[in-house]
Amino acid sequence: MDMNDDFDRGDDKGDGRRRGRARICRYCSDKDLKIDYKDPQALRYFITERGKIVPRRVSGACSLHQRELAIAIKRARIIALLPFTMTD
Amino acid sequence: MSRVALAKGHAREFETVYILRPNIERDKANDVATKLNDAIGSTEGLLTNVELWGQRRLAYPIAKHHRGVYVFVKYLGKGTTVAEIERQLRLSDSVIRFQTIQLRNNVPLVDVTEKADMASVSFDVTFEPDEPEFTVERELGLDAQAAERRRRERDVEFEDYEAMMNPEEGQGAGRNRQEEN
Repeated sequence: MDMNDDFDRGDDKGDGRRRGRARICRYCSDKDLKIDYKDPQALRYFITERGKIVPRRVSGACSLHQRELAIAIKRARIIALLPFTMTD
Repeated sequence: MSRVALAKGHAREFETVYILRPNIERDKANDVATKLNDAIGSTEGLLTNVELWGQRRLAYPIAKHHRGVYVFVKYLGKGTTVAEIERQLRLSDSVIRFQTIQLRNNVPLVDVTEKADMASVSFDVTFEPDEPEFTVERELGLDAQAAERRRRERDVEFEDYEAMMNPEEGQGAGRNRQEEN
């Protein structure tokens, strides 16, 4: 599959999985955006309602930025800017 | 990060965020700040930025607090600087959480022009009191406050009952008031 596909929508009946999310890295398309653990609002996009880190296949982040995001989210969790878990 | 020794005239850049108790007194907050200032000074570090983020809601309770006063410090120094700063933060009862991060390695000290003063941060603000702690007792209405509330409600109900039993008294008072107007 072409890695530069901006979107890969629709049901993929072939392998029985659905992919309906944008497949483009936010931080690659906008070079001015910086991943910062001190900005919990920006990081909230990359965590689920339960507080888990959203996987790359869903968030669309590239490998480099996904790694940076994971570190930033973990740092934000330590100083209680983001939760480790959320219930209900 | 690399374990290679620092070149002469170079330093590493760090930033520390620490969280103070929400009901912190100004003197105690200043005390922590001066201790950090001394720690940086005594280890040949250089303070480059201080920010008071103020009171924020914590994403999860720390030491039974739901809010905390965030302070952000950025400085240059060596490992000994960080060790001394973290030692001071650990010793202080006012600090409930801290985190240090290395931003840059091998920063030539001649390039650094920023300078900050701990005194620039004023803790001369009154912070809101912490939210009441979540307890099962309170949720179920078993604590003293809830008991008091229930007792008051019961009294009100009793008054209503009395008013109901003596309708003339209540209505008469109402009519008199209308006539006055």
